[in-house]
Amino acid sequence: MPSEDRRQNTPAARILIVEDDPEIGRMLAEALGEQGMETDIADGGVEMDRRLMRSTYDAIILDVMLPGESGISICRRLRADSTTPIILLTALGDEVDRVVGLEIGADDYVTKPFSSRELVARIRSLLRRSGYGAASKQRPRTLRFDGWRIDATRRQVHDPSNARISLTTAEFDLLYAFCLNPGRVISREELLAMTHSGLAGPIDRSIDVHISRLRQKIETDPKAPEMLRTVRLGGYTFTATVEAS
Amino acid sequence: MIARFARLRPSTIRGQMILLILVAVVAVVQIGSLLERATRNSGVTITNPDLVTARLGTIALLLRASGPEGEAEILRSAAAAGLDLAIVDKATADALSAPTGLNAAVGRVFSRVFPPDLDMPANSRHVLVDNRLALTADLDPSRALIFRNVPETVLTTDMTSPLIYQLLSVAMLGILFSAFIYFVVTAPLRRIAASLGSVDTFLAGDRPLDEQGSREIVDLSRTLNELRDRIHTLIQGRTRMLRSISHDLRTPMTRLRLRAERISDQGLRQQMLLDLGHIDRMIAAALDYFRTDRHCEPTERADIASMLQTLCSDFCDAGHSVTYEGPGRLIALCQPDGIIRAMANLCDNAVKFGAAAVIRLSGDQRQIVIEVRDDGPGIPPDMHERVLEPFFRIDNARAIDTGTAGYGLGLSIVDEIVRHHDGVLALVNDPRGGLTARIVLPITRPAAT
Ligand SMILES: Nc1ncnc2c1ncn2[C@@H]1O[C@H](COP(=O)(O)OP(=O)(O)OP(=O)(O)O)[C@@H](O)[C@H]1O
Ligand SMILES: [Mg+2]
Repeated sequence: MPSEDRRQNTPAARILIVEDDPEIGRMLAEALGEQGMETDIADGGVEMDRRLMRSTYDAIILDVMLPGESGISICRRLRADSTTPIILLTALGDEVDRVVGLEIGADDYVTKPFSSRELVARIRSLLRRSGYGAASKQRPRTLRFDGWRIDATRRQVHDPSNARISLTTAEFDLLYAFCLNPGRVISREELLAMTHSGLAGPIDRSIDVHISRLRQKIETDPKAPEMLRTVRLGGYTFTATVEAS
Repeated sequence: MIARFARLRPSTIRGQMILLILVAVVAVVQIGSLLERATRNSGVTITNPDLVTARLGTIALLLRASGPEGEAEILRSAAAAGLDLAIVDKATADALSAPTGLNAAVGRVFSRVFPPDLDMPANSRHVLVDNRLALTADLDPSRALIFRNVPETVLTTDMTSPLIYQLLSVAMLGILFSAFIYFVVTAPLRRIAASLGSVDTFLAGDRPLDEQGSREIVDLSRTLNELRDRIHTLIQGRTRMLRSISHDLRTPMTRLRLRAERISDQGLRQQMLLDLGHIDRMIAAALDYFRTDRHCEPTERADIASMLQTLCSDFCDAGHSVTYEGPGRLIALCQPDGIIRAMANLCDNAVKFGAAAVIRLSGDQRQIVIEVRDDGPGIPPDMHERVLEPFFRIDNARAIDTGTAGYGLGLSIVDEIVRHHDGVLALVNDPRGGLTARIVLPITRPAAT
């Protein structure tokens, strides 16, 4: 069992669940526990603060709709002085909530009702990403290269003529990961860890498929890529100069 | 003073109209009598041409009867009485020209329509002396009598002086009424129409109409304001209701779902998770359909080709067969999320009712054509209109079995988005089977750079 391996190799991830519905909280804790994570439950902002004083956590799962202080306000407060990854649990999965959530500093969001499998996958991906040093607070929201512009909050990409180019979730995650590490050779395993890819659907595409799709959209000649170069036996490297803001 | 006048002014259009008529009548009487006095004071006391003619006849008679001294005496007395008379050679008199121009023409028409009651003296006629109207009559075979300062007939006959009043009142009412209709009725209505604009802008705007003007206009504005408020309340209420239903449902549904995941009987677990998924999608679809902010998305330059490629990849990654045929880049002004949404709905139908789908994109200077072709059963031609209606489905038995049942909202959302882009959605059955949904967007394509 992979969870067993995990427990042996690394200390178990500690997750704080901030959720007012006791049954959801309990079942979430159980589901995460089965995956080898240690959990604590707080039923609101006050209880959360008390727990945060006593120990540290690798990630916080935060319900948006809480009695008393709202999840949005808590999230903003947490972000002011910590980089602990935050996953928001929202009831309304529309675009506005996602943008608001990311703007106030959440790292990801999951719409209710969700499956525990989905939540676990999100947490894993988040832990991996923060493990690779891209701590939430320093993550730039806007990146530029060669006239291209990436808005990480809205997950939008504009080409040098300022036209919006549409990317899949995996393509966007890849491009963002490349922009955070320009000039560095990144292995396929690292790329996989830095993206959500694999969560999208039943079919698990290899990184190469996503890279080739991404080249179609950003390279002048996808057959002779200039920006996204393949490094033999190593992985891929992004050659453009990136400015972050 | 003005404020006091404003307070006294009637508030209804009917009242203002009555006041207007009263003002017009008073003005007509006043101006008419002023005019009358003005024409009387111009030196001529005789205003009736009949009288002038009669006098000329009488004087000519007297002159003929008296001797040369008598003539001088008569002329002097006449001058003293304010009558401007002169005796000239017949040749001189004949040489005088008859009056011409509009006034004379009108005068002739008048004397035709209202002929003088008395016969004119022998060989009398109207002439011009120093550009003024005069009357001449033969005195004897070698001489003629000239009577100057004859009043202009048009304004001064007995018949025409009431006519002044009539003309004046018509003009007065005409002017006053045009002004009234313009300022009190037309202008406010036009202002209302302008600030309403189309139904969309009326509903989108939040600035109420000015409640100003006559009472009818104020009533109209107020009713429209109330109407808009009512519609806003309805829309907001509907959205809020759906949102709170969805929110209140989602907490217990999350619980249900997490609980269902713990069921050890695999068949039962699968069934419950399927049903839960179904309920969740239904709520999401209804909520999405009733969204009011879909049209608020800003228009921007976007690459349609990459949107369709992304869609293709997403559907392929979800295990469907969707291929894209078209250029690698096609930039157009549009509402990108709207277009993505519409195309996703069409692809969703294509893979739901068929097995494989092809998205085809083409465009020229005037329009962009996007087609989604599938290999499903197609839609009977008589249903092409109805499938665009919300909540309409032809036969979902098959889809319900496979757990992919929709709610009949997909195509109505597509239609709405396409219309909002001033485009056209057409459904065409392929003779080889399958349906082609074609979207034509009249987009002025900015030159791709
Ligand atoms: N590609 C197609 N082939 C055959 N029938 C179709 C196709 N697209 C739509 N229809 C018919 O038109 C109906 C209305 O389609 P629409 O997309 O509006 O609703 P839906 O797909 O049933 O539900 P929803 O889109 O809300 O999930 C469908 O129920 C189906 O009967
Ligand atoms: Mg549909």
